[in-house]
Amino acid sequence: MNYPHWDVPLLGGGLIIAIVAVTHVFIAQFAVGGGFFLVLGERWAYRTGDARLLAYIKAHSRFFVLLTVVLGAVTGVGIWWSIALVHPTGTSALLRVFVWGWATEWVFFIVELSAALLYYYTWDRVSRAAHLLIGWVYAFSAWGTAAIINGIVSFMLTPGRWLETQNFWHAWLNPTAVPSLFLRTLVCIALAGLYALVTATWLADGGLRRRVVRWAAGWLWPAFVLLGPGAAWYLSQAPESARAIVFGGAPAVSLMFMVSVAGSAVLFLTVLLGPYRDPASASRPLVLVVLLLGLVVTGGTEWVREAIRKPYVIHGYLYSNHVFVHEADEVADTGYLTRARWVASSHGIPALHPGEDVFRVACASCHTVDGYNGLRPLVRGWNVEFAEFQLSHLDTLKEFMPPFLGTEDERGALADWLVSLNQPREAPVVGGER
Amino acid sequence: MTGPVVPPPDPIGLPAPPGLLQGLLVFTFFLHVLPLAMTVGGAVITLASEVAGRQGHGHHQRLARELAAVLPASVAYTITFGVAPLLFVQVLYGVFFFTSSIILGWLWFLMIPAMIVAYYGLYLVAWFRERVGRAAPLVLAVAGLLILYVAAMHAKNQVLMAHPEWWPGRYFGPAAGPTPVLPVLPRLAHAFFGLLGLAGLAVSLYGHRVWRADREYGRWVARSGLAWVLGAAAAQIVVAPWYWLTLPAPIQSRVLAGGLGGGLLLAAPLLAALGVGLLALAAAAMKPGPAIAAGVAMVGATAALVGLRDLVRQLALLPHLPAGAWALALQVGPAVMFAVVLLAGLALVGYLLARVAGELRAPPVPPPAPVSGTAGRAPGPGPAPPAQAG
Ligand code: HEM
Repeated sequence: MNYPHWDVPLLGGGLIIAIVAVTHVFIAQFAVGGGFFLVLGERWAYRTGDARLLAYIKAHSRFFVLLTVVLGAVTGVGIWWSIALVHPTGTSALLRVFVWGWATEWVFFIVELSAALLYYYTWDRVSRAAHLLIGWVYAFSAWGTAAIINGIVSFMLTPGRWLETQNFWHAWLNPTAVPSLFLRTLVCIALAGLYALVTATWLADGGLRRRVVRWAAGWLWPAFVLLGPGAAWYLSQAPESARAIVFGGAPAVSLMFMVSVAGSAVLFLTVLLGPYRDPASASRPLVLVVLLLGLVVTGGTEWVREAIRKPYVIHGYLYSNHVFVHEADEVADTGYLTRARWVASSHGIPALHPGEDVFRVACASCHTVDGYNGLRPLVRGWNVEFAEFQLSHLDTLKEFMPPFLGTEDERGALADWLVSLNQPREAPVVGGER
Repeated sequence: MTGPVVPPPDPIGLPAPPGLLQGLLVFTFFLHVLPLAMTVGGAVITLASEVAGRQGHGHHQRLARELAAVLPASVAYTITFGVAPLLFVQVLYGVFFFTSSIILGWLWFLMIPAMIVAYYGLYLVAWFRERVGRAAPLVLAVAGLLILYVAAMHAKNQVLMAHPEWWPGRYFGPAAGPTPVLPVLPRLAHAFFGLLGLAGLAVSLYGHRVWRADREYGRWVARSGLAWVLGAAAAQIVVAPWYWLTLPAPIQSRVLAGGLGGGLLLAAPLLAALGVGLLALAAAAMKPGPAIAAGVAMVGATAALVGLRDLVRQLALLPHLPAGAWALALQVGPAVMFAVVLLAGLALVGYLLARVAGELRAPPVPPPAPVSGTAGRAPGPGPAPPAQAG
């Protein structure tokens, strides 16, 4: 409401965040688990005196650096870029609560990056003990970055006692922080194995390839066994409203949740019954398909994790549409537009439709018009009375939406504009409805 | 009629006194600038050496390879060292920073893909040179342009955030307010030649180091680094005043009036000139002492400029800062955590570097113990190629 709106046609800002974030998470969790994979693999090669295994670990470290240090790191920065564009109010709140946490994470980044580069560039140039030490430093600092950011991300769903105390530690060690870190750690370990299957299937050598495949596939065991109980633990700590959304409150979310669970099951069973049991059966296409499935599952779970927080950016504190819970009553008195700084009408520019200004302020943080979560299909068939009724009971009809806080005039204008989306458009649009 | 444009303050107070956060902002931004110099200036010098090397000049070829090998790491540190100033600038000046970056919108967002592509380009040249072959200059040029794009968007955002009066016109179009051409170019050019000069300094210092093992090449590198410094300094004679003239007059006079601003404004060119002189002396006589002193002077000039830059921004923004934006909600424990982790982290990295340096300097380790076969120490320096791939 206080910031201009970054207009992303069709996708909407939320989907931009999602695309960047899912890419990042899928690589960054590998960056965490993969560190342990590298040192343990290196140690295994030394113990068994296996030069070819060591050569594989080296090659894997090259792949690892190219993927994590570049795409992993920059997409991480990219999440920050995109949340600041889409949710400046929420980003600002998180920064003010957590700036010292993030600054601490930054130190971990420096250690992590330095260790990653040292690890890679000192292969065969320093003693084994030193090289392994560098690897351990990498692995633990990478896990440390995950532990810190996990506290911040989980805070958004369960700010817990912070809501009363405004205390950093209550925020960071919030109710879902530990279960969520447990889940993420399991996923990091599993992804280390999954990515290693990719590089293992580049190996030509039969015996070595089979050993590495079996070992890498074994990294999926902890997640296979513990993800279910971990998820139950996590959900038990989540707010009631979140559980309601998962278990039926919002069919799309329930569906995605099921897809994630089923996808994970297929993934684990494929790897454990396939490459793990019979390493010779691991083919590159199979592994790539499984990796892709991993990406889909990651995307699905992260999407669900975001969706169950609705209608908030920070649960109980800040609504998804930039209204603070504590100012809701005031907004209900004054309406949106008199407070909004970045609507056309407050700068002397006539809006195309007065309702469109209201849409920008109150809805556009989650909805587009024609694209992702688009309103046009959602309001098909609505008339003005029905639209007004919906708007008056938004948060009770759809628990995952914030209340509509506009004045009567604003509600009328928005209803009118929504209904106008139903009208046949004046100029035919290429690729539009027929 | 135009309503207020600067957003109201965040209801959560600042976790530390503004002075501390500003100090951290300036200091960590200074850290961002050092690898940034290698990234921006280094990319330019690498490209030039690569092209000159094509003409068959052996030293150019060698320098191009050596520089290309460090560019990926310098980008990595540029990015990582950008994180901290971004935190502090958004905590302190979020109402300005968020707004102006949203107004830039896609231009701002596209920095991310630009960084990714540039970064991979640099890795291509550094790690896969054989495969890149004759396309190396092209890849370097594309990466360099993308890096320049990132720098330009940073500069553009800095300019825009300092001028709230230009925001509505930019966002809604000319009917909502003035839409002047943003004075980005002088700011970017000033930064560019500064960074290029610092990269030239790094090359020259590297020449002094190599000189101990390889006189001819070392001298050549020290002098070609110096040539870059001289070129950049010459450009700065025109560009720096040009940039100064684009600052609003009231800010100019306040900088000149204040002791600190005037001091920094004076110190920067003096230190830079001193540095250039010392570096020339060092390259003429191949003496390490003046070379190191030159480095100190030029990095000092950079620090002065970084400080001045922040002062100018404060003068521009503080009058627009909404009341209560810097209310305090101190967090002492977390700040202590940061300080402790910072010291521990730096000590740890320092220890690893020292240990690696010590082992690299030590004579070759005896052949590996029989139990482990040849696993431990495959011959040859440098990382192994992707073994057994394919
Ligand atoms: C190749 C990548 C990058 C390049 C070439 C680059 C270049 C620059 C330049 C030229 C400036 C000065 C702008 C001016 O004052 O006019 C700057 C400032 C800044 N950069 Fe970067 N940058 C890069 C990556 C990053 C990243 C990834 C981050 C954050 C994670 C970052 C954070 C910052 C911040 C916060 C400032 C401004 C500090 C302040 O406001 O005082 N940079 N950068």
